[in-house]
Amino acid sequence: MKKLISGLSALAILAMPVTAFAEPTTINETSDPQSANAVITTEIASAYIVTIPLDTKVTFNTENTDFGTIELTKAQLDPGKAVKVSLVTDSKMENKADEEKTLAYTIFEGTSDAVTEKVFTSAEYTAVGDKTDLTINITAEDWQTAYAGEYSDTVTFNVEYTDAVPES
Amino acid sequence: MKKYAVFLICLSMLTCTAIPAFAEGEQNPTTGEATIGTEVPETHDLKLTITGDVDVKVNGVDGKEFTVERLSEPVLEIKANDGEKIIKVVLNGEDVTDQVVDGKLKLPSVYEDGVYDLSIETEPISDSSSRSESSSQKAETVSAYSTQPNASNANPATGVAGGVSLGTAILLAAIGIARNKGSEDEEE
Repeated sequence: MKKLISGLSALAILAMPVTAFAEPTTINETSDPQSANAVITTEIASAYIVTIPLDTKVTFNTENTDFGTIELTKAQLDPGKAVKVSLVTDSKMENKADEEKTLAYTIFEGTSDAVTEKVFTSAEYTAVGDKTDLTINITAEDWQTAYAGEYSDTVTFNVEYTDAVPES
Repeated sequence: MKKYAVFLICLSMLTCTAIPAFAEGEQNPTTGEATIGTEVPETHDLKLTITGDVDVKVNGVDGKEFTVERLSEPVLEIKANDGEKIIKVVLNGEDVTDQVVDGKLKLPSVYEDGVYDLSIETEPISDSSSRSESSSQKAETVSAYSTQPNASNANPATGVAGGVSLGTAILLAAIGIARNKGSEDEEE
């Protein structure tokens, strides 16, 4: 038992982190020059938080529905780096009862009351507060021809730490 | 000694247990998902407003408010009162008289709740005997101006007798003009 404890103790001691400090520079009356430099370094790991839209239910016969916002809410980025958010979607909801029946939709940039004609695929964010509003659009024609039933689709937001594309 | 060893072990565990703290950016790329959903109703509610003294049924049912299946094409059955016939049907401002077959009008595929404004004009049906009588009267009127005595059953507008009467009238007029011209020539 004693041996076991000793062994475990030894292992634990081996696993302990060892902090190594640089050897201090000594300056005495004979030193020339009578000064020394010290470099202070630190490293801050890149960190970011991106908020993405929540699950959204579209009201029947509504052409434009707010989907929410992609927003960079925390950003400690290296210079020249950006957070890129890409949207992966097949742009159609499937009928729960019959997957062959679908309802097409498009995700545009902008809010429902100020929607643009720009389809959202990806965007880069570099500073806290950078954001993109999104709107789900279902055309009147698609509503008119949609079969009854429940429809849904899952979209994926890929968030990537990447080199910032220089602004043109 | 034993206690000392146990204390050492505990101490080492405390100092060596790593608490993973990843910066958000270290998992690259990361993904998030959101679900988009909607529900398309099975049925739709229709309201019917009718202008005109007629009976209207939707899919064989009386009433002015109906529930029909989505994407179905309801049939309106329009029935005029006895002794009357439908001459014009307007649905939501559009003249659909031509689409009414045997008093039935098929509505377009229903894809939402809606109100249908139906406006119907009717007129009394005149039976065939009175129609024949009326024609006869007109023909007799024409025959009064005709030199032909037996044109009573001919249509004055399109019939042969009417054509003959007209020809005769033109002929008589021509003769009259010729005579007048002749007398004027004589006077000169």
